[in-house]
Amino acid sequence: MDYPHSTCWTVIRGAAERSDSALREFGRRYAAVLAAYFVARWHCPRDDERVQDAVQETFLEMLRQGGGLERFDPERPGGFRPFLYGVARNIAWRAEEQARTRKARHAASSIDFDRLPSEEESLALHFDRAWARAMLREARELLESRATAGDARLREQLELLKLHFEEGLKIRAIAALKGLDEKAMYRAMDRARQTFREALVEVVGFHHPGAPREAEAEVKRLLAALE
Amino acid sequence: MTEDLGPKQAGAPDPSATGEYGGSLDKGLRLAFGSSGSRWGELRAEQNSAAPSSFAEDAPERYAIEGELARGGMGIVYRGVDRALGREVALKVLIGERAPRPDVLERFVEEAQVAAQLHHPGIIPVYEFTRARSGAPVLVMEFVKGETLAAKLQDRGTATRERTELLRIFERVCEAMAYAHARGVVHRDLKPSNVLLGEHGTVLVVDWGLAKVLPRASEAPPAAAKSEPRDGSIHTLRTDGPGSASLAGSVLGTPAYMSPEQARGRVDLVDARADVFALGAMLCEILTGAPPYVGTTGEDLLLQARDGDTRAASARIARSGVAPELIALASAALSRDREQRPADAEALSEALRRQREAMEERRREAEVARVRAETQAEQDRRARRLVVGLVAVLALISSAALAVRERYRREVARRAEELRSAGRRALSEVASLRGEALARSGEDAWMRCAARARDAVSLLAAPEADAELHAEAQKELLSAEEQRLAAQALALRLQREQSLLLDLERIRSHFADHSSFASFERLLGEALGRAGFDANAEDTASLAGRIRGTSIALPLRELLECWALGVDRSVAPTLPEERERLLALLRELDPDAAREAIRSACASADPAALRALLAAPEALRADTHLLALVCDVAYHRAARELQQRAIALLEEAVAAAPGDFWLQATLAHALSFEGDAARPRSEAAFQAAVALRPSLVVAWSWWAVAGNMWRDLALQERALVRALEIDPTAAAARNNFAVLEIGRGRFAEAEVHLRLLVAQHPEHLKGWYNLGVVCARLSRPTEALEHYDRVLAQAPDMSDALVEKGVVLLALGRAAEAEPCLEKGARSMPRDPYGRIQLGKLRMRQGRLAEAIQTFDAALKLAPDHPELLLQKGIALHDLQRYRQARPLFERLVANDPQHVQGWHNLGMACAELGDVAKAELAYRRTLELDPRVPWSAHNLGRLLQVRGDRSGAEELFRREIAQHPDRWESWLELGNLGTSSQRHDVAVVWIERGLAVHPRQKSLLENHASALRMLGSVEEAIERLEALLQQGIDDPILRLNLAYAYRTAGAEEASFQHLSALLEREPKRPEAVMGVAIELFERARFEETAELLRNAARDKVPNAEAARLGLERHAALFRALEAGERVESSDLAEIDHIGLARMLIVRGHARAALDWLQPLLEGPANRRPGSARLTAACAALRLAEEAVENDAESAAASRAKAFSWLSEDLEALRCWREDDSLATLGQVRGALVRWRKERLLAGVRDAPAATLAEDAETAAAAWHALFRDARELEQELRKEVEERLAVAREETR
Repeated sequence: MDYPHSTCWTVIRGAAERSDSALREFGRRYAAVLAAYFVARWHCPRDDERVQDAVQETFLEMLRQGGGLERFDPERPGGFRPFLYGVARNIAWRAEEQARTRKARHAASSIDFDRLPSEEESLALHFDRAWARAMLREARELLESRATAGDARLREQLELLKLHFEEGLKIRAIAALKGLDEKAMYRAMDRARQTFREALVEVVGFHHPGAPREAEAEVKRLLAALE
Repeated sequence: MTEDLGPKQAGAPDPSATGEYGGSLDKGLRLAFGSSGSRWGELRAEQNSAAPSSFAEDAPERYAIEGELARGGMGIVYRGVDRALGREVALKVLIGERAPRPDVLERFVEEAQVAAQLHHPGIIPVYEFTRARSGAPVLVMEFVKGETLAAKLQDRGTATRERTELLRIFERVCEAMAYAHARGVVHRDLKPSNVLLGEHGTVLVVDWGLAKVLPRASEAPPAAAKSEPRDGSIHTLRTDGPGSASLAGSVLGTPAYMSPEQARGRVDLVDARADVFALGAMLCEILTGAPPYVGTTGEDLLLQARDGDTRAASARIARSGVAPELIALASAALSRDREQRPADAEALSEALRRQREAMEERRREAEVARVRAETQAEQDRRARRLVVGLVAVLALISSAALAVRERYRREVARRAEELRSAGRRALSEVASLRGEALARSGEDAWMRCAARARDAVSLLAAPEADAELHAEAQKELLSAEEQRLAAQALALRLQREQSLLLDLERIRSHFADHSSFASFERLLGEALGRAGFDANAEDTASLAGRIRGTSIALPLRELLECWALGVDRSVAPTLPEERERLLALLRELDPDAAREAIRSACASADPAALRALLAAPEALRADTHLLALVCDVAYHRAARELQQRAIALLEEAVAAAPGDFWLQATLAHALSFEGDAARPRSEAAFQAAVALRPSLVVAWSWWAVAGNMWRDLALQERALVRALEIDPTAAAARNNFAVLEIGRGRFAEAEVHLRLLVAQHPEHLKGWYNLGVVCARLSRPTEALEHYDRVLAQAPDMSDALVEKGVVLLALGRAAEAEPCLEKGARSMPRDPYGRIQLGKLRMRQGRLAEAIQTFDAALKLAPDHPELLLQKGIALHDLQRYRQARPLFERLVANDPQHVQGWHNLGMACAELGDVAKAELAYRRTLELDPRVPWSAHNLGRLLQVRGDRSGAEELFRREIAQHPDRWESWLELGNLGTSSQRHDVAVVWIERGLAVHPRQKSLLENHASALRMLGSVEEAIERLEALLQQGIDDPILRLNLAYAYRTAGAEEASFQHLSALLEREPKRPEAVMGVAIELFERARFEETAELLRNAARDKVPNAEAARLGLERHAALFRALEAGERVESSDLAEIDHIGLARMLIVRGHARAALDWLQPLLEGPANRRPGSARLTAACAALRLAEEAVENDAESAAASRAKAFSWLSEDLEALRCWREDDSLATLGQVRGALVRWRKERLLAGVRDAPAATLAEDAETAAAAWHALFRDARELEQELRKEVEERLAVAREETR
């Protein structure tokens, strides 16, 4: 994954063209988001085979000849997220319809499709949250890959973020640990947060080609979805 | 988990400088960093958003739900945050939690109970078992961040990867299961997805939802087992209740890991060996990458599991390439025959440990041997290569390829130089890494060093490389490997020591809170065992030697010191072996004789020694730990002046060492006994203590005790809640919470706490005692007795248990058994009147009122104004009818406590007995104001009003009594009496019937019912009911009398006479019997016998007997005169007696004389019905007609005509009488009609006397029939009316 030299469209196009590595990358990025959406929609465990089937169905729908990816217009407003959501929602509707028909003929399914939430809006929010988490994860991975590549300053900042947000250490405690002044540690932490935010904007921009301002707005929207 | 980046500080940059969405970004950062690299974390994050809002809203208020973690067949696990403590928790609820199936609920409760009682680092700790807002049960557990073993297995790719680490995890699972098996618990659903791997290397067995508690082989049948739980055993609703056996034939668990017996539903065969099979299946998956059974469907797997054929799995394991011992172990665990498997997880764990240690040893040896062999081999190889090289060179020379040779030489030299240079670099790096490793002493650092050294050895193994450098690299490798192994061993030891340190601190807190030696020794043994020290098996000196050099030596010594102060050799010179060993260990760890002397002095609480110690505390000041212990003993077990000295010393020590937790806690605890004045000092010390060690339960538990001392219930509850949050197994805190609930009257809640307490601490006698109290309060006396007996078996002199047992025995009516208990209990509590109160009550119950009063008097000397004593003594005096003495006691009682309901009630009763109706009424009214539900108050007040003539007021009060106490038949009876006295016999009948519905065999009700029926005119029904009572064996005087009256009303004088005679025989002095028999005898003209009976009765002082004798003698004289045909004046005779004499004359054949005698009564108006004068006259006339028919037909016809006329008039009189519509009349008219039939027989005429009516036979017969038909019709009308009236009355009184 090398963000500066790639956008998501290269991955998407690669996937559409059946490139093995692109397909793997495509699946790695979006499977979790899709699964989260189906889990939320159907109130079922993640390992439910219907969820797995629906994720696979969504990929098939995107990748088949003349499918979603081929039809997708990169200039489409909002980027790839709403497009993927639309495909997933159609797959969900299809699965629900099939299940209802099956239920009418045979025994009940373990997912009670008659009790499904009717509010698409809240489900869209589930999708957006899952998407936001995926973006956050990618931002972290981006920073980690750069730190591993030898950026000492970045390694330092990542360590601070981990100590605070992962280990739960207070700023004061981190300052004591590093033998630094507390105020200096606040400043360092703020810089680390700034770096992470920039990485996040970069990752979102990767999925959201367009003016940087649009990516900023998208970041803001995604973070608001987490509230 | 993380803080906000504020507070903003001067000079510090603004933390929100990262943009306008700083807060959101932080949340994002937590998400990005909070779930790194963890499948579970990822899943959790993704499923957060999927958390059904319903449970988030329904969750207990204390917890905020953050998302769903996992979902199983039975329940859903949510992640939440404990708002009070700010910690993350996992909450498990049932699927469909609002209305779970009873069996599912039972299993869930059992899971909570089992998990809560298993305390092991490998078993997920349970914090709380509580309820959601909807009432659904919720199990709150520790939240573990990490992944499942299943996920880890899935992620590893090939079966050989990470095998060592997985085997180590597996060993930890076995250890946890060994602990559970030792406590008789079988998991029954062991599988990789039920093993959680925490972030810090913790391994936890979760989901005890299918766990089963095994009965022990040594246990007696279930009933006995219930009363005798074993030490350390697990108790659940199912193990203690009737449903302990799982349903035979049911299959629970996961087929891929299921033992054959479990898969076949052979619940009876499922024991620890079923878990061993599951462990074997997990081991199989670890070794081979798949569990023993592999199939596509659940059914397929279940079929395989039932078959139990694990040969294929064993073959796979055999090919896995692991050590033969491990292959054999896994195959044994998977044996189809459970007898062939290791006995339990302990056996498995032990075998694994041995196997691992052997393997490590082998690996260590192999590594060293390998390095040595490589060194040797390399040297050999170099020698060989040198020879080959020479031959080659010679060959080259011989072929005169000098140019080539030169070129080759240069190449070799260049290569050698390169290798030398690279080798030096590598060795330099190794040296650098070695320096780093030496500085950090970590296993990882040595591993990196060894890896680099290995690289250097490989690099320098080339023939061109420098041999010296190569040897140096090998040396470095050998050294690094050895250091790595040493560092590994050290890390393991330190980890164990660290864990043991925490355990020791917890054990001490536990012991200080709940001084249970058994529990202490068990917990210590387990903790030492986990750290690799076996206190029972290892020689004490060698054990102490091993411990002495470690970081646990001092804490262990202090802990043993704390424990040893309770071991008093002067009381028990011979101690159990384990205890002796621990004392010996303490002496080994601390051989100082002076300290040993101090310990002995404290253990025996020798006042002189303690005084000496406190007087010269220099020796103690140097050791704050010992100082705290000595002061604690001095304060709690010595005289007052030593207590003050102890507090002073503690305060001095705290001032010098404010950071010492035990000093602060001991001081706070001691000060809490010093009254409210010392409260601020005590609280300051408690605050300091809990700030020092917030997670040690003892300070909170002691603080709760202090809250009790200060009567601060809110503080008490807060402290107890905190204590139990920290340690749900804290015994004293749990017991005190139960006592708090008992004090509030919340017995069911108290029982929950106590059940948990005694399950966790079967040796906790106070817990069992309090459980007995709760059972008694919840009306389960038999169960209460079992608990008290258990306590008394251990502590035969525990006064509270003795007294409470006596109270329960008394309640069960076993007064003879209760008395010795109460006597002994009362003696054992010389300063507490409670035992004597109960003893007095027992004596009252037995009717030994004088003795009871003596007992109460003795207790009143201890507590002159004790309300219960005043009340009970007053009641005893009242029962002795000493109302004048009882009344002042009740007056004192209500003066002391104007809210004392029972005092007012009993005062009312005493006043009523003393005739002070106004005061009695006042007292009853006060009682009812205070508590309208007090039994009998409304009833008694109703009776007062009844006597005063306030019928409506009385009726209202009786109804009120019944409304509060629907089984109060006495009030129904009184209502019946009200009905009778107001001539409402219909209402009386109905009210009494309502009473009979409550108490169908109550004699008074039955008799009054019959009496009311008789009064209402249903005389036949009354006789029927009374005879039925007699048939049931209820034979009492009132019943006989009522029956006699009923028969008499029905005209059956003979039956009446028989009953009266029978009654007289039983009770010769009963006035009703005497009079009744006298009248019957008199009516049969047996005057002498009558006179004799009444004379004897008069002599026996039967009231009115003499007057009756005189009256009847006069009547007898009259009768004799009338019989003799004399003219007699009868003006002062009662009408009934007048008619009675006439009837006697008719019976004895003097019809004419009877008619003459009745003449004055027949002269009144026709519609007046003076008794039955006309009826009796008609009888006499008919007799005369019968007598005259042969000789004087005309006279006979005239007599008949007269008789018919009188009968018509009488019937008419009856009709008129009936029309006045009073119920009294109704009953009397019915009685009169009965007599009509009777008089017809009296007249000797059974039917129309056709033979004597030759002339106008037809007319006469018609008139005769018409008369009696009219009478029958009237009777039927009356009967119908009675029924209608009863129906109306039933409706009215409903």
